[in-house]
Amino acid sequence: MKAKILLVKIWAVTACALTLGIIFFLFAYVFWNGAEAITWEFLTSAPKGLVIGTEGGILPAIVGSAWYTAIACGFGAVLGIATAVYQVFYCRSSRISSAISLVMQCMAGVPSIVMGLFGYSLLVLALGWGKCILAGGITQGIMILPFIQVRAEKALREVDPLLIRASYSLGVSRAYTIRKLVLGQCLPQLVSGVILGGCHAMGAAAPLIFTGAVIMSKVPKSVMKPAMALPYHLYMLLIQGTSSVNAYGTAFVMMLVVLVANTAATWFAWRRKK
Amino acid sequence: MNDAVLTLENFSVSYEKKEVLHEISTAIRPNRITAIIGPSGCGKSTLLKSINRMLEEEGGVSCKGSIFLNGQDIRKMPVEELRRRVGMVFQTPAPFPMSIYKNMTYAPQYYGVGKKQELDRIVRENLEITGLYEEVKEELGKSALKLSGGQQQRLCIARALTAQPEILLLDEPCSALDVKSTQIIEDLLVQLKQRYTIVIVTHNLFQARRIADDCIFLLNGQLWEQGNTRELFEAPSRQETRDYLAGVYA
Repeated sequence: MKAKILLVKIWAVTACALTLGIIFFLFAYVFWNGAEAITWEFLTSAPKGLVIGTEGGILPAIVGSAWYTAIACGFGAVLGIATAVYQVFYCRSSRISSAISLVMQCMAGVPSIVMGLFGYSLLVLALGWGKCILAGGITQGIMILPFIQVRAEKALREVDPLLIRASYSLGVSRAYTIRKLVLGQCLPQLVSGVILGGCHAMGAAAPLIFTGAVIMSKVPKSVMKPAMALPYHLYMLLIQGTSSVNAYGTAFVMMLVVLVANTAATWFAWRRKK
Repeated sequence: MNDAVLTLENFSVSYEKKEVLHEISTAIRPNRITAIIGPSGCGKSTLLKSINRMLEEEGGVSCKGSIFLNGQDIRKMPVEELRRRVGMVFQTPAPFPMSIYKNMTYAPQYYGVGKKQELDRIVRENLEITGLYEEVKEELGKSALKLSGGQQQRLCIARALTAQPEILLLDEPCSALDVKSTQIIEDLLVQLKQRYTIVIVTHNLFQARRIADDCIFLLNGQLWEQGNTRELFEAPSRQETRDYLAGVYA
């Protein structure tokens, strides 16, 4: 029995160390290799070179990714949080609620490239938007929708039911209760859920390939125009195999943004618990 | 009883298929404290929650019979209106996690009071009624969660009053409080009955005897006996009531 417990302990500690080690190695490796590419010029100029990206910087990709992510977050947050609010506060039938959860789980399981094809056929072709930031952002928004919904639902269900009843007992409506009491309580968790979803969107190239991302563009001025995106740029640099330094640099910037956003999300959620 | 503010007619409640209240008929008179007493699980809280339809918030409940508020069928009233007119205070104090002031303006703002002066007046008056004003007037911006348990419960009563109800329902409001706070709240309730009709669920027979004008004794979901508190305590007409008052079911 004792040996068994010890074995489980060793296994758990090893797994934990291995996981942390892999993540640490990944970050260190990319940062180490990418650091030399990071210059002020790299961050503030457009890609150049005979083969695009071998020279110059990644500014259009940074701005493009910010656009895609902002639209994805907006779209995903509105729909995801609204779905969760419906499930927790309005839906009276447990069957409908379970059905919604099932659909969300299925959506979460759809490969991102399939999401991309869906966005392509609906937004780019059927609606005739063409490849553009809006189409790409919404496609990513659909991708992170279940991600945000699950977290929002969890946060909403954690609100003390006694407080909600106390609010109803004053004769105020559900909508008022949600707006004044519930959202105020859950805001940090909702925001952190959206930020984490945004990080997920920012790192995904597949949904953008057919819907918005291009190899080369200027800093975008309209959401109805296509734009570069960091993960897609990284992908292009790698398959061309021409400039691994700039590829590492791009990865560096992307990971840094995600790391900072994740930390911000964690801090935001933690502040509430305090 | 024509002067009754609240009338129940053959009111039954079932959870899933199990009946927890069986054909309750009674009338609650205005400006009096009516205590609902009975052993645990007899349906006291269910009966109380039926009056402001808070029971509907729990799934799987079905009701039969009717409840009338001043002659109006409560099931035909918009639920928000019913709950504004019938306030409720819960067993555990439930202040909102915001300032004392915001707790007190939560309902008035919903009812359209926007002027700062008017809100200030509502906050002050209702806190004064519950005797809390003198204790907290310097720190209305402080989180309500920082108040003591007894103060929190008085805040909840004051908050319920901000909706200007006619009836106040209290579900064992003192069971989480110490003796001193309990006494303050009991005194408060006795004073409040001049303006409101009060229905209180309590498992504390001494409390019922101290403050209630009328008593309703429930047993196994049935209205076993009701009447004037003194008569019911001194000369119960049924054996089970006598047993309960003597502590047999406790």
